[in-house]
Parts: sequence; structure tokens; C-alpha cells
Amino acid sequence: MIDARRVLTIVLVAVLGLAVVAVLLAALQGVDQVAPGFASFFAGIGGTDTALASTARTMTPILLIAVSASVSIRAGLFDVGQVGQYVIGGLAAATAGTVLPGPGVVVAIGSLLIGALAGGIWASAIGGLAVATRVQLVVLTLIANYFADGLARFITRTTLQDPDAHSIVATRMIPQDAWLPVLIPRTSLHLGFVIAIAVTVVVWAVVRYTVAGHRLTMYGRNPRFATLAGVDSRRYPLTVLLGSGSITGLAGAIEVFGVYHRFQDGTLGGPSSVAWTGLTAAILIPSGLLIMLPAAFFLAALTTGLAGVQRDIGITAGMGTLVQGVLIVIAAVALSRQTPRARTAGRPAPAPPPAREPAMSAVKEES
Amino acid sequence: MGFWFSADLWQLTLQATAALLFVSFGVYLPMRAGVLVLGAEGAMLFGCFGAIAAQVLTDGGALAGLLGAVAASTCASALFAAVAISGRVNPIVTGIALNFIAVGGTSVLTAVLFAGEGTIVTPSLEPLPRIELPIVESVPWLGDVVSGQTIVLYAAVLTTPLLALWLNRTRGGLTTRVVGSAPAVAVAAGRSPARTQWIALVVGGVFIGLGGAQLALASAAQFSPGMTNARGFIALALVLIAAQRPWLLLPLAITFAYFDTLGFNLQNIGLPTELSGVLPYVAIIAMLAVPSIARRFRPDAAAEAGGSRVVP
Repeated sequence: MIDARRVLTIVLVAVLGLAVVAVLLAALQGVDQVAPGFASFFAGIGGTDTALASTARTMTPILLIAVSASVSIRAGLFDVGQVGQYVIGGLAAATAGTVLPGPGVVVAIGSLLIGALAGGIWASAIGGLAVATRVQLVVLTLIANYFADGLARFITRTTLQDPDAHSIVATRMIPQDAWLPVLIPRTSLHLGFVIAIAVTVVVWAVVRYTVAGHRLTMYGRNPRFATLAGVDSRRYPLTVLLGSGSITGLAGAIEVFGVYHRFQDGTLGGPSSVAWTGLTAAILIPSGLLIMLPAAFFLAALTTGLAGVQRDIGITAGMGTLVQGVLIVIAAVALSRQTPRARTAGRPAPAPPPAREPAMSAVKEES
Repeated sequence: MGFWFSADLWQLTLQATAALLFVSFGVYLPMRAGVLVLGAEGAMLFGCFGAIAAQVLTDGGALAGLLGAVAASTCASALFAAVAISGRVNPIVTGIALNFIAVGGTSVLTAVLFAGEGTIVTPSLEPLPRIELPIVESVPWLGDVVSGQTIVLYAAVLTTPLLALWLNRTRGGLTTRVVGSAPAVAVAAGRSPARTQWIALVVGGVFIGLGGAQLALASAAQFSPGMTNARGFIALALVLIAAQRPWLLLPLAITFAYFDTLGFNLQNIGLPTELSGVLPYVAIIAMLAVPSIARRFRPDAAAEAGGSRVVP
């Protein structure tokens, strides 16, 4: 699974990421601020136990969402609705956490499952809508991200609002005995980190060693061949979305149970949502699974490192998003240069017009 | 006429239509040349930022704002073209990256140029001037709704038939459509698909910039980080509904803008404000569903046309 070129990609992207941070620091704060900036950057990632735990905590949803997006990309589905699935999963879990009876462990497990299921159903429903309306999945899921955010805010405000929370739109707190336990005392690292790694390994094993995994890869490589081999091409994409969406839904549920302990509007969704970061990893390394462990760590480190720089030197919070965008461009251009392509001199063959492709069109794998 | 047809509501609807319509043109033109502009959201955000930044930096008023918006958004579109067309990166990946760059870039630029975070609003900012139409002005309801809009709205409404005519009746329009539907034919006819797509994207960038200027400068002149609020993606959906019928963009944009505006005004009749985050998206999904429901009732016509989303 982990081949040399993908590892090389990670290293390349990591080095480029540091270079972009350095250039931006020099441009914004002056060349003399680059060294102290980097000191703050690395201190933010792992200078103390607290910082390192915070990086691991940030990595948790990024890892799960990267794996989720990677599964749908592997099946040739360009689903970019992770932000919506993340929000819906978080809201469903928070709601379940406040109403389910029983001991804390039962409430936590039940709520995480409900959150996962909600994310999966949301993803599958949007996929079904894409098929019914013949609009490309990528367009519909982008819109659905905003829809989910608005819907969660609306539901929270009108039916679940905590009457004691005046200035924020948020549900009631989950009972404390149902919170995910903290792994290292006096840090923010919670059990969700272990769950995320376990899910990643399980998904990798399923994809690698089972018939279901083979079917997934086969459908992504060649949907027609898969159809001839007996895969129901109408229902299968929706099943895949149910599965991948539930991984992202689980990420939302874990974030609610491990970090916020309630659903609060604006913490999961929005343009700076961590779900976009998870998607970034999946775009940089399409179909990667175990490689998402270092990739998610790197992107989480970028986030917490820049937060450290922001704290010490005072750069804006938008820097992390900017660096991610620049990284995707650089990495994508570098990867497309690596891939040999049939090219007749002076006759660049453009991609076929996207509007003609069916809604659930396969994505060309970049690597 | 009550709440649903009040002049205020429709006046704001047309104001929102202007921005959405121009962004739709900016997505539509490259779509006909075979490029899905997923970066329209980012280009529009750069346009909004350009409108405000150019005004503050040059002190040149609304005109500087308009030009700044067009310049910023065109640069963003050119970046998209350079990566997706010349760099041959998947346009979906490019679009998502451009949206990241726009959200992060405008935030960083806000910090650098204005030493602050978030919303830029200063009293010196000048909104786009309102134009009173000579005769329409005195017609009761119409005067309040149609007259007194910005030049961008009138330009957008006029551009709709011009764009349709250009695509369907001129040599350039034909080349664009051929590049979009049969690139091999365009190559055989001695046209460069890449060049055509580049031009379509850059012209589209100008359109998107006008939309951004309208959004930033139509009412209260200001820039705030999430102000485009999925309009670039909504435009993509409208463009996919319109398919090979560009004139449809006008009624589609008005319909969406009505529900978008409605959401923010429902609190006037006692409904929760949070509906503003739900209603527009329910509306766009309903609008997307209409053609497929219609198809179900006319199976023959649909089969003949090969489905409504196919570019000729």
C-alpha cells in the first residue's frame, strides 16, 4: 500500500509546506522574523506535552475524514461533502448524547454510532439527489455543505437550544460520564485519537484483504467492468457514500464527545472547518489509506504550528488555509508532471467537458 | 400586495440577482468551452476583496472598486486557467485549491493591508451609485423595484441576450461550443482548445468580478470573510440547469435570489431568522429537481434531447 512515490509525495509536500510558511513569514513579518517564527511553529506542534497532545487531538478528525474521502475517491466518486457529513454527524451524536438514557459508556457508544449513521445517511441522500437530478456529485455536495450548516443551526435554534446558553447557538451539554476519556491527564488528547487510528487500520485491512474492498477498487478503476462482474451500478455508489459518510459522521461525533461536549454552531462547519483539511489530504494522496496517518499528522502539525506562530508573532488565522491551497496546487502540478501522458506536439487534449459526464462520474486518479 | 410581493423584498431580490447573474455568466462561458469552474466561489471572494481594497488604497470611489474587483477576480481566474488548463491539473482539484487560497489569501491580505481581521468597513467606502430610470421611476410598484438599482444589474440583464447571441450566432461562440463538445473537431479545424478555454476563463473572470463588486458595493460597502456564502457554487448549479439555454440564467437567478432574500426577511412575519440558512438551499434543490420531474412526464422528449444537461 505504502509505495515509495507516495512517501516521497508526503516528504515533498512537507518540505514545500515549510518553505511556503517561511516565504509568507518573510513577506509578512520581515526576514528577521523567520527564525523566531519557526521556533514558535515547532513549539506549537510539539514543544510541550500539551502542544503535542493538541496536535494529536487536531489530527483525529483530519485522519478520519481523510480516510472517508479516500474511500469515496477510491470508488471514483468525487464527494466533497465531508463538511456537511461532519456537521450532521456531530449534531446527531450531540442530540443522542443528551436524550439517551443509561450509563455513560452506553450513551457514548450509542451516540457515536448514531452520529456515524447520520453522516452516512446524509452523504447517501445527497448522492441519491445527484443521481435523481443528474447534477454532478461534486457540485451538489459543495452546496450541501452550506445546507447542512444552515440546517444544523436551524434545528439547534428551534428545537435543541440550551436555554442557559444565551450568546451561542448550541445544544445542551452531554452528561459528563459520557464524555470520551482523556488519555493523558491535563492535556486535551482523548480516546477518539485511538478510535481514529483503529478505524484507519480496519478500513485499510477491509480494502486490502476482503471481497468488499476489491469491489470498491474495481468499481473505481472501471465501473463498467464492475457492473459486468455483478455490481449494481445504481445502488453501489450510494452504498459507498453510506460507508464513507459514516466515517466522517463518526469524526463529528468524536469531536463532539471528546472536545466540545455539545453541538455548537460554527465549531464543526464553515469555511475554516477541519473537514476541509481532511479532504486536502485525500486530494493530495488519492486512494491512500495507511499513508493518511503521516499525512493527517503533517496537516494537523501545520494547523497547530501556525496557531503557535499566531500566538507568538501574530499572523492571521487564514494563513493555514492559504498554505493548504498553495500546497494542493504545487503538489498537484508536481504529480501531473510525473505522470506520463499521451501528448501530441501542439495538440493538447483537454479533459472531456465535465458537463457531459454523468453525475457519478469516475475521477481520474492522480497517481 | 402583502409581504410576498412587497417592493422592498423585490428590490433586494433584484440587487442579489445582479451579483448571482454575473457569477453565473462567469461559470457558464467556460462551461460551454468544457471547463467546470469550481473556483468561481474563490474568484468571487477575491472580487469582493478587490472592490474594497482598491477603494481604500486608491481613494478612487465606486469606479475604482469596480475595476479592482474585476482585476482581482480576473487574476484568480487566470491562476485557475494556468493550473487547470496549462498545468493540466484536474479542474475539480484546482477549484477546491483556489477556494482555499481565496479564503486564506483574503484573510492574510486583510491583516497585511488593513492591520485587522475579519470585516473591512470604513465610512469612506462608497457604494455603487443608484440609477433612476426615466419613465419606469414613476410607475407605482415597478418604479421602486426596477428603478434605482446599480449599473451592474442593468448590465447583467442586458448581457443575458448578448451572451446567448454571441454563443449561438458568432464564429467565436461556435468555436467555444465546439471546444466544449468535440475538442477533436476544434483541433481539426485549426483551433486550439487550450487557448479558447483560457479566453473563456479570463472573460469569465471579468464577469465574476462584476458580480463580486455588486455583492461588496451594492448596499453597505464592506468586505467580510464568508460573504460569498456559496454563491459561486449556486451559480454552478444554475449553469448546469440552464445547460445549453443561456437565457434561462436570468429567471433562474431571479428565482434563487428571491428565496435567498426571503430567508433574511422572514423574521418580519414572525418566522425564525435561522430559516435564512435553510431556505435558499431547499430552493436550489427544488429547482434542480424540476427538470428531472418534468422529464418523467415527457419520456419521449427527454430521450430525444438526450437529457437536459448535455452540452451540444
